[in-house]
Amino acid sequence: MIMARLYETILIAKPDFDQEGFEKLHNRLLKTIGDEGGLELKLVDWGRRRLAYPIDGHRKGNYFYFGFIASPSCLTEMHRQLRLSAEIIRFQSVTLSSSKPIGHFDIEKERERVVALTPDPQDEEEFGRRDRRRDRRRDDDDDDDDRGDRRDRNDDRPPRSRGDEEAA
Amino acid sequence: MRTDTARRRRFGRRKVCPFCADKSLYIDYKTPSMLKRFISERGRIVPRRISGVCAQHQRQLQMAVKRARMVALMPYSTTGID
Repeated sequence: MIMARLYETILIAKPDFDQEGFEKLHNRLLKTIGDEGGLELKLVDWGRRRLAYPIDGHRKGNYFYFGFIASPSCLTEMHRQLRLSAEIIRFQSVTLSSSKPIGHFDIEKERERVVALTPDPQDEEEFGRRDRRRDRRRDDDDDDDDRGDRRDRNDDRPPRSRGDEEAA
Repeated sequence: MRTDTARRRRFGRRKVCPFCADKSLYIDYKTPSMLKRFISERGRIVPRRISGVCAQHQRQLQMAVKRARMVALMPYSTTGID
């Protein structure tokens, strides 16, 4: 009996990643996981987002959210492949459940849970309505330079909460 | 008793942990807009003596911020120069 866990992985692909690349990636993930009896629950394309800091010279990245059930060895294999792939610039997996035999997962329930945990890419608060508007206006070219999208100092930052009582 | 009231006045209202006050708030590294409230302008995690978050939630918060940093949803540091 294969023991498995519920995982979620955030993948960041290069900014020029396209639909074709996405399908290839999806198939590869499915294959890796399926080979060991794992199961995909949800793959969400968060779209192109500005990175909080440059990674390998890229200022933007295509984010993907991937929720799945797999064995730990399967996860290791997936990580190995992601490291080898040139278009993935960063990934991070988080364990969401303890180890259980794969048949003991209530697939629908787990899927619901994963979906509930995934922010909606249309959510303007989470995905920066402002940033997107700027993208459209100024950085429409498909290059990676991100010119014109540079944020001003302290731009869209909430007022800092001051601990003045303690400081007194 | 006097020292007590004096202290009260000096420190003001005791802050309540926002996550204990509102159980529906879920600390998640994938929601940087929520975590943003708990980092300084420089991108550092605000100590709980200032934010008023309880120990348990501060631990979760810390984990979430660090995870968010790892996937570039939040900055490690902000200098303003960029």
